[in-house]
Amino acid sequence: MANKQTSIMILDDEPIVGKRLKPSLEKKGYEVESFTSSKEALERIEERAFDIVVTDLKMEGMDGMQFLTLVKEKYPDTEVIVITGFATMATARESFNKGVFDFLAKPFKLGEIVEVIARAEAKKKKDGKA
Amino acid sequence: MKILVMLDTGNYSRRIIKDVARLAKNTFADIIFLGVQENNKKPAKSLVNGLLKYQQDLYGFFPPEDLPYAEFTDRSWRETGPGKWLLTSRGMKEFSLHIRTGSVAREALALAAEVESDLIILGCSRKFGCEWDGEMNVPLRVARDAPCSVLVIKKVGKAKQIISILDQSVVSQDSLELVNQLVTLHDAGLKIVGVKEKKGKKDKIEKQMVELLKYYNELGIGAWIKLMNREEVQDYVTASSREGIVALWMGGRESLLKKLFSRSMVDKLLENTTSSLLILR
Repeated sequence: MANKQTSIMILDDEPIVGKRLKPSLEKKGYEVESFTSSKEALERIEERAFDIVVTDLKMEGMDGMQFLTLVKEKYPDTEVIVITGFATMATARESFNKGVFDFLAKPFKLGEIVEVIARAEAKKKKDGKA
Repeated sequence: MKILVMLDTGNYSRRIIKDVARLAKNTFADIIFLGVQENNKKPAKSLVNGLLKYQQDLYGFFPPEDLPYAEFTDRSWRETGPGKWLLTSRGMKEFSLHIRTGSVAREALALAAEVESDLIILGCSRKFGCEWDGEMNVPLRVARDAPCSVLVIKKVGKAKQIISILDQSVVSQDSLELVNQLVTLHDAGLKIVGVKEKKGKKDKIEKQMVELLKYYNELGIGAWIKLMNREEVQDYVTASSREGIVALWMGGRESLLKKLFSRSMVDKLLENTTSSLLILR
């Protein structure tokens, strides 16, 4: 049986983030959907689950913290990776308390987030949730 | 974020650990400490002990429950090439110590490229400007030639302002993000100073400033903006450096600042400013 493709949602209101990440992750065999609006991302979350969600924290409308809270409530097995351009100890702590897999401050190189995603994927596989 | 910290046994290196810890605590960055020795077939004991002490000092700034780095399982240095040694630990984030043999600036630049660091941090002695182990050349060469942004810490502690000097060169997303992190970290005000050529180019730089203002407005960050002629910049930078960290965008081949702050000017800036200096790329 073929391995199930790992699905990833990227949410960042900076379009450049999705533009950079989506093609690289797709090249690595991931199924990727990219959003710049938290409202649209939330609508999509209502429709389906993702294995991994990568979300920015500071966005217009619903902020990333609210978004990741909703994702974790609806899909506890989804691994959430937070990326932020305005990192503070408090937001990092709050993110981890909410069960995020990792916290990445911007700027970061593509290789760094790809490595974090690979670790999240490995964890899911190890836990038998992927 | 990946931060490369250049360290030696000087007091200026010891002093910056607190600032590095503050940045690491907020950003959960991967941290790389680099020590360079002149000539040795094995890691010099004084450098090893110095780096391990800095590591313990850094860890000590974290509440134990928030420490994202692990202790080393053993302290055997792995030889990664001639004159190169590595000690690494993986907690939630990676912490590694590198010892290299050779020229300090050259080894730092090479390692920054190898590990793809986002930022290089180094301190410098303020006794005669900005020296590293008695040499002005090290901070200057790293600031000038690094493949990523560089923070030269002259003044430790919180900054009231981040004064960013912008010309018509390309402003990278990475550099904006680094400025954002520093504004957040220091809870500082942000000043963006646009530099225009004597004739023309005003439209381009003004357009870029408006775009930046829009970018910061959308993020809810208040930014104070000023446009000035290139001949005013050097005095302005020297004067405003008293207020906080001076950030210079030095990227892009067409960068006016690159021309304006030639080798001798970066040298002067490092020598004359009292503040820390951030070179953005």
